[in-house]
Amino acid sequence: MSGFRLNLRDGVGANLSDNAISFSFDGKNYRGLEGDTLASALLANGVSIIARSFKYHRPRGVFTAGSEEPNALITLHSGGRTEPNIRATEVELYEGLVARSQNRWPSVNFDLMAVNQLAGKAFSAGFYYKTFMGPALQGHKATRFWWLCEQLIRRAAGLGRGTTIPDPDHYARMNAFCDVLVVGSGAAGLSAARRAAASGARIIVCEESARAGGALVSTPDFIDGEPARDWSADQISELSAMDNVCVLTRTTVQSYFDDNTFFAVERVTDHLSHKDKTSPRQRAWNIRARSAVIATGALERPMVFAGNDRPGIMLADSARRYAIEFGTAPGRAVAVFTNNDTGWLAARDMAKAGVIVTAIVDVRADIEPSIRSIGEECRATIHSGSAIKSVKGMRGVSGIVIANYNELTGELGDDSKSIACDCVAVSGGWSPAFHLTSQQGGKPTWDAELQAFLPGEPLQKWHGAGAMAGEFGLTRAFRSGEEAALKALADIGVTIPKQAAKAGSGPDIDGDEIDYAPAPVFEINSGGKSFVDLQHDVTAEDVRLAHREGFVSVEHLKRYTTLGMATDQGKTSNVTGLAIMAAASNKPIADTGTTRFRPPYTPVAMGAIAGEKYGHLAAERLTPMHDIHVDLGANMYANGPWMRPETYNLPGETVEQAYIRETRAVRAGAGLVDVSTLGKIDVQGPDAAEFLNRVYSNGFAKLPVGKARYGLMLREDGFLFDDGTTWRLDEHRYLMTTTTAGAGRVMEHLEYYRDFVWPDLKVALASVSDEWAGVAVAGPKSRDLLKACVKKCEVTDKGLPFMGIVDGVIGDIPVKIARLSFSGELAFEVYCGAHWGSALWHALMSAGEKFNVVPYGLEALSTLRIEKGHVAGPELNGRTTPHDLGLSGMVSSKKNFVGSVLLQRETFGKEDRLQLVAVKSLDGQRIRGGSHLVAGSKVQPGGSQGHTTSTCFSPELGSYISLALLEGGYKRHGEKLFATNPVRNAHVAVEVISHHMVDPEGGRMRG
Amino acid sequence: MRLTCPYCGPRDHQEFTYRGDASAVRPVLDNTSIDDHNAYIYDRTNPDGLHRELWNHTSGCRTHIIVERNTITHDVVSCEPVGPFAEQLK
Amino acid sequence: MADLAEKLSPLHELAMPRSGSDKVILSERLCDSLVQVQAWPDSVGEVEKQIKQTRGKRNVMPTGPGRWLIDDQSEGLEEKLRKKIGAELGAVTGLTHARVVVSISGEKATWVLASGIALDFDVTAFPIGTTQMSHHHEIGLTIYRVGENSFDLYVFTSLVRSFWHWIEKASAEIGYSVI
Repeated sequence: MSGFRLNLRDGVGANLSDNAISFSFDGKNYRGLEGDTLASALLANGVSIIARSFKYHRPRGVFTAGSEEPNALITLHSGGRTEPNIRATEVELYEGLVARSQNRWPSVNFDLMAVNQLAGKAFSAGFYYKTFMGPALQGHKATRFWWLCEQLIRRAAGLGRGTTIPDPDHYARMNAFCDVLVVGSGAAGLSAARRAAASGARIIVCEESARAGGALVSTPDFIDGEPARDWSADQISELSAMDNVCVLTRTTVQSYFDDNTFFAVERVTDHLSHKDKTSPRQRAWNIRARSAVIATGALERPMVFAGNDRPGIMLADSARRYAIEFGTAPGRAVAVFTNNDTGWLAARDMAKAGVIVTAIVDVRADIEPSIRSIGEECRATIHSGSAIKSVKGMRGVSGIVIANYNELTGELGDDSKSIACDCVAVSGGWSPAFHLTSQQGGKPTWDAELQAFLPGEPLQKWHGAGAMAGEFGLTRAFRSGEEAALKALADIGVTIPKQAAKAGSGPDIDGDEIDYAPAPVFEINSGGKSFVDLQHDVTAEDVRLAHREGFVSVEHLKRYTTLGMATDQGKTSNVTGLAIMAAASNKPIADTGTTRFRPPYTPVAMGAIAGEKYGHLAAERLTPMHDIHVDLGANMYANGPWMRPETYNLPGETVEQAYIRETRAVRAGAGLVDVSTLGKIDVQGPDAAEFLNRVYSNGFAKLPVGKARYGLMLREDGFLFDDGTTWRLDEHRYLMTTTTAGAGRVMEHLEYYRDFVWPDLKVALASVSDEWAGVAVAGPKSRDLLKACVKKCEVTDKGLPFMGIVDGVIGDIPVKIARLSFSGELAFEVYCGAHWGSALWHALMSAGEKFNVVPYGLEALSTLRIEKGHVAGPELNGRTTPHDLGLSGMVSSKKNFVGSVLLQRETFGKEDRLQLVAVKSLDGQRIRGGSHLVAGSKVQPGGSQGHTTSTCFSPELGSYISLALLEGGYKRHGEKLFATNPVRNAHVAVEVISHHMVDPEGGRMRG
Repeated sequence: MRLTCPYCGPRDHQEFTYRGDASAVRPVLDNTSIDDHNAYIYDRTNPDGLHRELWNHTSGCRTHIIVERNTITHDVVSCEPVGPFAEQLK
Repeated sequence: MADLAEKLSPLHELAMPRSGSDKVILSERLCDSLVQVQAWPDSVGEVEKQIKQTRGKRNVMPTGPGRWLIDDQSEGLEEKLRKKIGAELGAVTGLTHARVVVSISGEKATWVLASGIALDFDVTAFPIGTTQMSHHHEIGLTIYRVGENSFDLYVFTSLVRSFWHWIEKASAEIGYSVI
């Protein structure tokens, strides 16, 4: 094929302007025109081999003019913008565009990897299920050989290559709501949009390509006295100007989800050479439509014949569009091969534009005189009742060989006639594009007259219009569009008065009225290699092979042959494949069934789906004192969504040195730690006490006002769920704290019980985690520190006893102080409104200066509580009960509470359950969390008897320690075991000890 | 999937948190039968068809609703309020 | 009431005044008082009456059945309401420090909001003077529509910086100013 640019004039090159554009393909510079696609520009420059096929590396050229393109896949851009497998037919040309072919070495014109064609039959359908299996020889030598082959084949397989360089573009999202979504802006879509918009309803119109109009852009018909192209442009302008209408071009509706939710991708800057940095590259639209009109048209399909994948063979209507829209002749001598009348229109329109059409080959013996006369107009030789037997030429088309063809029996005659041509324009009929409704589960039905699948009954609120619904031709498109709009309006409760609704009052059309129905011919079987799915290199023989091997279901056909599984989802091959399968199984096509299309309709950039979440995946939660920690040089890290200080490293300190220093400082004097992240829930109401009593395992009904109590919360199955401290602020008012990670879970847990289980209880629940900033002041000097700055209340042991609460003032900040200890030292938790958090911290640091107060982070906080033996997240792992953690004393036997019944299960009383202990390193090695406790050696450890949970270096004990869960641990203090961690190559000798390692009597915190 | 909160109106399902089978009703507080609690926690019918399930409108008003949904067709048949204000929201 | 310490917003350094397009205008503020009131099913009418009688209200926002979030232009609303609404009538909870108000106005305000929040911002679906609760990913939001093109968003204090980063980025495509 050697395409070239036609003489541009009215009606030839309708999309083009005069502006010349330079671009490059495979390093070579070319010129195109504004309005070209990459495909049309390459054709105009005579480039015919664009790509190499997936499996066999056969040379391929442009096949279509739209997003259904199976062959012309290229890689665009470079660096972080590299994007493989782009259809050249969809790329809008712009100045400086850089594209290259893919899946070939060294070049697309000379590809050494095509050598695998010689292996031919070994690579037929399903070859990977039948090969690469070796006998289990010693050392699996045979299997390893096959593995090696597989590596090489994998390297040669695939289409384009992506990049690992970050994408420099950003993407956006938009949430939209409308009354009627119209998908497609061809004749049917425009008609529906006009009718729906006139009612005042909120309308969104989505059009896949850059210009609206669909087939109206290239048809020679006149509407209301003007060229259809101009008429459709006026329509869209009018619609866009209406307040209640949003028109989105370059926007493909990709997915149709439940509840009439649609996903569309708008290409905002892909067609521009100079991209504004504030514009997103693409915008993902989540559209929730009360009703929808699907007017997505129909896709032409080819007939399958020997040699049908050569560069130069394309769909007839696409060839026509190249001539009309892009002023490009697809070849110097074009032969049309068809089974229906539209192939003849393609011949006529091409010839009118200046393309030489040498022949029209029609499988039908009888051609309508009005159609036949078209052929005479083109001066093409007409061959009716004929079909292509083979194609001449290796890397392109140099001619076709035709023979007589009996459309009833499918037999080719023995005669042969050669026709010289360099392009074959094929039309095998039209398939309605109902991909979206199929995604939604709509079962298509076969229409024998149209020889096409129609969308079937709607399962959601959508109405089909135009070719998508089998309504071919302009008159029927306009009428069905109107009707669909009226139905959509009725869905949303808008009825148009009968007079105004007179459907059929469409525009005046002056043009062709032809019959779209094709002869039922899908394949010309002359014995040569013929392709059904071009993108996945699936041949007609592959389909028959699958059938012979027993894969008779359409779902098996698809997966075994991979027909329809490439990036084009079989848009130009599904129906033909089904027809061949039907013929092989001697069934009518209507009985074969169809597979379900999956979203998206065309490939979507991952960035478009990620939208604004690219770069920082989750929002950061910051405490009120965040900036202070950063200024102090704290090692900040992500603790779930929260940013927390790990340690406050002094210059030159490691993390371990820092937390050891901080821990020592707290136990010796005083330290401050930010505890604002704790979950905090406001619990109020006349029944609040009773409610708390039901959700905690220990008693809460009698907690006095002004006191706090540590509480355990169980799941209904008896396992520990969360722990925290609840303060009674008033008779009917409580402040519950939870673990940081558990806050959301606990809130939902409480709401479930309040709403679903005990809705008669008067309990109000409100999250106040963000309301309060919290600082724990801990250490033997903590009381002195507070005495120095707290006013309006007493912080003595008498004024603020252990677990007591007081209200006071620090500076001008009202504070609540509770005497609680997580560290085991004398300690207080000071809370104030979050917006005063920074001021509170400064006031406490200032008051603590003379006591050498240090800020301490999460590592030191953990170390203190581990030494003390307090449990936290790693021990509350969802598989431990209070009895397992030495907290039996916190399980009330006097009441029923959430979890109390199933906690009685026999298994929880077993003595060999994993029980809380501590282990101390005996050899100076660090113990890692998640190590298994074993009796054996590194090489032969023996079975796991438990695992380590929370680890640290203990300044108090002078060795590495860990809390741990050990089978029957309570009775094994003093035993020597090993903490083994094969993943980290560690094996540490340890001694089992009680988890109460520091101040077991609790004198420090109660003093 | 869109669910209708009786207070806030129709919203995307991402605003809600799934809380399980609504036909699983907790035994009353003084029922100490392990079998009854076992059935409440673990026994489920997993129907292919209509399913009654509990959702919490966690990113909205935090009202609980019982949704009747067809697990095969995904049709949401009804969304009924649950909780102290259920009568007022109906 | 004694003079209280000055409150510091997490956005005090991020939301610096910036001149730019008036198609989107952003600003932030803290609340003098922000109080949630929850009535019981049998006391809704009485509680509503009590709320109506308090003065100085900026926005009274219904946020659930029998529940309101009240933004007041004076401090001390929590104590005032707690005196009037005892446990038998309902529950009063202070949230003054739990939220930061991010305001957005201008002809493209709804465009920016719709790009990150899945709500129908058409005036018929979200009338002026009404409140909707929703979210931007993991950031919960209480949204009050002040005017056709003007909204007050009550954002969780711990998440407001992340929220501000997003709304600035979303507004950048249009062009915006900060007051």
